[in-house]
Amino acid sequence: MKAMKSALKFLSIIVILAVLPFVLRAPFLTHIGVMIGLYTTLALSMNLMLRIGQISFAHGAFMGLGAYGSAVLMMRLGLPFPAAFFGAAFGVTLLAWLVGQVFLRIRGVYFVLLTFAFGEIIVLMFIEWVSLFGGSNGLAGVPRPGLFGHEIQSRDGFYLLALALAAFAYASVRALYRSELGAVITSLDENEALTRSLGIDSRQYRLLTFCFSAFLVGMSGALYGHYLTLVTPEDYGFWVPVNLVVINVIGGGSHPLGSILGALLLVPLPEFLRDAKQYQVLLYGILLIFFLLFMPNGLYGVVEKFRRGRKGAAQ
Amino acid sequence: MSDVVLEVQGLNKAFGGLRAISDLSFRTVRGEILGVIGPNGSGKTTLFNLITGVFPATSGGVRFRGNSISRLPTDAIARLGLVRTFQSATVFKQESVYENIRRGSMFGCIGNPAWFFRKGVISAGAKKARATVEELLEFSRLADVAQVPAGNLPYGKQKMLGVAIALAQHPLQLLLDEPAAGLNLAETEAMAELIAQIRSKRHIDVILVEHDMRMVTSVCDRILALNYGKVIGIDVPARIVAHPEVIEAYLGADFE
Repeated sequence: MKAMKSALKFLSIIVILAVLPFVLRAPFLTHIGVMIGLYTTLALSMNLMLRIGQISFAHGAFMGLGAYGSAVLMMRLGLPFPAAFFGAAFGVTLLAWLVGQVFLRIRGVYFVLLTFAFGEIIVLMFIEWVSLFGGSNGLAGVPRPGLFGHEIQSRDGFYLLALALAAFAYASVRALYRSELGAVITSLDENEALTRSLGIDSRQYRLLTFCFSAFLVGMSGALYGHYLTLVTPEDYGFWVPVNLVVINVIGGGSHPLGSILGALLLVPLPEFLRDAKQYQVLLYGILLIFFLLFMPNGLYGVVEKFRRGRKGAAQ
Repeated sequence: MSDVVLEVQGLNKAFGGLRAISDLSFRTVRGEILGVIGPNGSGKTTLFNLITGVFPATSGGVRFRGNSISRLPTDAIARLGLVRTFQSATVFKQESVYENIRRGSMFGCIGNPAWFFRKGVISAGAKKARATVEELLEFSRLADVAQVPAGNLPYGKQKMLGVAIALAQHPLQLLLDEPAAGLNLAETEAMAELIAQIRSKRHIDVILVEHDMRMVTSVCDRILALNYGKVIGIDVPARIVAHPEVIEAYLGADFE
């Protein structure tokens, strides 16, 4: 009963969000909506990595591989959009499975450094392998996706795709955290030695989390490339994972809702600050310091406090 | 011979130049509580880590109920029924007492994520876990604090919970690493009683690493005394406490 009520609530929010651009008819807001949808998915994927206590700096590269992969599959092999999209996403997942066998054995700062180096290598490959990836200029003229014979040209169409992706990411990550899988993953972060002594094969669980995280990143990367119609190497560097961690810290990484709240606050910021681009990083820094000092649980922590306060007052 | 549960044969472990365990052999029989004593650094915890596969031995082997477990990972050894606890209170501090024990019961059924696809694993595991938790809350006298976050419990209760989490896996043999360390007198007595009941009521074998000599001598059937990673004696408590090498290791040679 309670599960059905929350599912209904979730669906009605999705429906309202889906019709919003057709009511508002503001292309700029729709564009921001697309970006929020993509970044929500990306942030949720990082949320998974934070949950197992291993911040992956390979996520920029995974996103880039999703974008380049889907673009190349459509442009060079002439695959239809759904095949290229899922082909790229599953390709990224497979790569994560392969490198994860080695990477996930390493913890803490060393894991960050290793994945950072891996990310840089992949970006270098995008730049140097000119015949396939187009070098520093990247790939221009990435085709717009076609679905069921219709080419999706409009922002509204992309908005719906990005919304569907974000909804899938949120629902699946939340379901995962609430399931027995979530209990295992939380346990691994809380106390790995104890969890293993209870019969849990920790490496398999870390690998699963890493692969699912990469799958989400691969999908949003692929969509991102088709949306911009341009894929360039510098979009997938070191700043992607940094931004994703910042979104989770400011939004509140303890709950998947925090990833959404973080994306809602941080994604529109650079768009509105276009004229003051030089202050963008500064503002990021100030925001981050402010949140770490005064709201260590992020926006989600504030929402939770407010909710509990209201509940307490009602009783 | 068929009564042998755990058999350690010629075990060696070197950390660089330091020989933490050298040529260690012993066996335990069904129904036994074996104590392991020795001064700090004599290799007691290293022995547990070797038996449970936390790190590999340099040489030598361990057999559990007739099967070699020397090359198995620690989670697979736990699933075979050879379960250990930890020296410091090791619990999921943010979770309730109930959830801690539930995880102990549940996790063995889902050791590998692929097992989620086996039919009925989750529902059968959850059903078993419910019964196990209720029963263990009573057994380990934690029923009144079932909903309290484990980190808020007094230290003695946390150590009790550590044992309860291990018991939730329905082990065949339990390795307890200094369960009384850091406990006061009353808590130590409660722990000793719990250990005695683990054998008498639950029929689980126990290997007990402990410094509290009163507890070891009162609870254990036999005691294995270690010093510098070597066995200096394995015998009934009365004879071990009278063993000259044990007295020397613990109290110094001049003690008379």
